[in-house]
Amino acid sequence: MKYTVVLNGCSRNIYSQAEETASFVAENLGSAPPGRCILFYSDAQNKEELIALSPAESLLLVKVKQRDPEYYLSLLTGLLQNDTSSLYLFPGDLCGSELAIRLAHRLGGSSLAAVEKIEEDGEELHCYKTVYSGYLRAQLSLRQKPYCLSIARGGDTRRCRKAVKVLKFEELDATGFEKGSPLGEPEYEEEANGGLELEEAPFILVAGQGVNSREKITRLKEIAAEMGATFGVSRPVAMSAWAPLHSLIGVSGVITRPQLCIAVGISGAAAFFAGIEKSKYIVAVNIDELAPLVQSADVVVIDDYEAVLEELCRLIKEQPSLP
Amino acid sequence: MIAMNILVCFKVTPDLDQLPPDGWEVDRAALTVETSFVKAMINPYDESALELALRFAEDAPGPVKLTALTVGDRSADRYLKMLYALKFDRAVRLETGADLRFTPEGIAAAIAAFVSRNPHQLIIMGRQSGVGDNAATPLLAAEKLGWPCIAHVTEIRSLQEDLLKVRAQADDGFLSYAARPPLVAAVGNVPHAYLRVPTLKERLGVREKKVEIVAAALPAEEGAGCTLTGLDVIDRRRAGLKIEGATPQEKAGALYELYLKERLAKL
Ligand SMILES: Cc1cc2nc3c(=O)[nH]c(=O)nc-3n(C[C@H](O)[C@H](O)[C@H](O)COP(=O)(O)OP(=O)(O)OC[C@H]3O[C@@H](n4cnc5c(N)ncnc54)[C@H](O)[C@@H]3O)c2cc1C
Repeated sequence: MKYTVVLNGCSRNIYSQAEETASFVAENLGSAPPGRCILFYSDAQNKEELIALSPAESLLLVKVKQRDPEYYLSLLTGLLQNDTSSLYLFPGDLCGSELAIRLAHRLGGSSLAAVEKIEEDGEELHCYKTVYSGYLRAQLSLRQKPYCLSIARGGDTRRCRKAVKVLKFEELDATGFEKGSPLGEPEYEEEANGGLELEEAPFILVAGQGVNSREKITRLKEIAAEMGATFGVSRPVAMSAWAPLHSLIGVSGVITRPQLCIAVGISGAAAFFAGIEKSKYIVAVNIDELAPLVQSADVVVIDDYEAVLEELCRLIKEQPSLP
Repeated sequence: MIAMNILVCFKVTPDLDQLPPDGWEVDRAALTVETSFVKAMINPYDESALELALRFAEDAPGPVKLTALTVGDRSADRYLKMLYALKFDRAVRLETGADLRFTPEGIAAAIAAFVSRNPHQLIIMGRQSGVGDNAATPLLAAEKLGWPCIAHVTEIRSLQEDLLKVRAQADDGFLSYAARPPLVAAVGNVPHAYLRVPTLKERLGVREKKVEIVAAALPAEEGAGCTLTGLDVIDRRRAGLKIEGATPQEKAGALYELYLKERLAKL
C-alpha cells in the first residue's frame, strides 16, 4: 500500500510525532514499499535535524509561513490532487487528527482518528481503535481510498524506531502561497512546556478530584517537586482551573509513559487511564476500594491520600540520593 | 442590527464511567453494549460548547439568537427543555431512528442540511464524545458546509459585529484568531465551563414550550464512512496488590520500603 506520512515540523512536539509515526509504520507497514513523508517547517527550525526525523525514505520538506491546521489543509489539498497514495498517516496530536479527518473529505476518501493498528484485507482496511470513552476496542473497516488516519497516541515508540535514511529529498517553498487559510493568520502563543515535560517524565504524581481544593492541589504540586516527580492532573481538576491545561492527563490531554506513576484521588475512568496506561509501574491511593483504578494499578493504598503522601514525601526526601 | 444566529450542537450520552469494570457486556452478533440503565448526561465537551454560547450571547454587542440542536432520540428532550429555560431561542431534535454510534459522516450531513434550511453564521459544538469516540463530527460538518473550522476552541468572544476572537489549544501552545463568520468552532478543554443550571422559575417559565422534532433521514454515506466489524472489552487489570497497615503512615512506610525504594533509585 502506497503511503504518505504528514508531520508538523513547526510544533515543538515534532519528536514525538516522528517517533509515533515511525513506530506505526514499522509495525503496520513493514512490508509495504517505502513510503513518503511531507514535513512542514518554518524558518525557525533546524532543517538538518528535521530531515533526520523522517520516518520515510522519500521526504518533501515544505516551508510554510503559517502553522495552523486550516492553512496546512489548503496546502495539502493542492499538493495531493494528483498524488496516488492510498494511505495518509498523521500523528495523533491535535493538529494531525484534525488534518486526517478533513483531508479525507477533500480527497474523497475515508478517515479515522486515533487508530492503533491496521490490517489490509482486499478492498477494505480494518482499523483498530478504542471507543466507548476508552472502555472498548473496536474494529472499524474503511472502504474508500485514500484512507486518512491519525495514529493513537502513546504507542510504544522506543521499541520500533528504525533509523530511516532519507534517499530522496525535495524542498518546496510555500511561503508565497496566498490562498492559504480563509481564517487569516492566527497569533501563536507558546506555552511554557506545553505538556512536553510530562510526556517524557520518568516519574509522575497525578492528582484527581479526590484532592478537592485548589490549596490541596497546590500542596501536592509541591510534594511532587520535593519527591522529584512531574505533576499532572485528571480532567475535573484541570476543568476547575486548579492546574494548567497542559498538565491534564488522558485521551484529551497528555499520554505519559513513566517508569513510575503515583495516582491519588483518581477513580480511574478509561479516558483518564489511557494517559497513564503506558506506565511501567502504577501506584494508586484511594479511599474507595471499589474505584476502578484499584484493579488497574500494580499496588494500592486504601486510605486518605493526604497523610499517605506527606509521609511518603518525607521518606523519599530522607534518602541520600534523590531521583 | 441583524441578529447573529448561533447553532449549538450537542449529544446526550450514557455516563460510561458509571458502569463497573465487570459490567461491560458486548453482544458480539449485534456489536452493541447495553448502556440503557446508565445515567445519561450531556457530553462534557458539548456542555462547554453550550455554556460558551450562552456567555457569548450575554457579552455580544448585537442581538444573538441561539438554537440548540441534537441528533438523537427522545431521551434528549428533557435537556432541550432545560436549554429553553437557559434562554435558547430554539431547541430542535433531529429524529433519525438510526444507530448513531459510528456515523459522524451522517450526523455532520444532517447538521449541514439543517443549516442550509435554517441559516446560521456560527456553529459551536464539542470536539468529541464518548461511545463513538470519532472526534470527527464538527470537522466534517465544516467540510460539508464549506466553512472554515477552528478546533480545540477554549474561548469565543465578539470583537465587533461580525468579527470574532477565537482562542484554541494547539499541540505546543495556543492559537488566537480574529475570524469572520461563517465558522464552525469545535470546543476543546475549557476550564470553568460547566453548563449553568436554570432556576425553578426559569424552568416553569418555559413549561409550555415544545421541543421542535424534525424527522431526518441520515444521508447515505456513499462509502466515505466506516463500518463497525468488531467490539471487545479491554482488560486493564494489573496486580492491584493492597498495602496493609494500621495507619496511613505505616502504609506509606511499607509502600516505600517494599515497592518504591528500589524503583526510585533506578530512575
Ligand atoms: C470524551 C471524554 C474525554 C475525557 N477525557 C479525559 C481525560 O483526558 N482525562 C481525564 O482525567 N478524564 C477525562 N474524561 C473524564 C473521565 O471520564 C472522568 O470523568 C474523570 O477522569 C474523573 O476524574 P477523577 O478520577 O479525578 O474524579 P472522580 O471520578 O470523581 O474520582 C475521584 C476519586 O477520588 C477518590 N477520593 C476521594 N477523596 C479521597 C481522599 N481523601 N483520598 C484518596 N482518594 C479519595 C474517590 O474515591 C474517587 O475514586 C473524559 C470524558 C469524556 C466523556
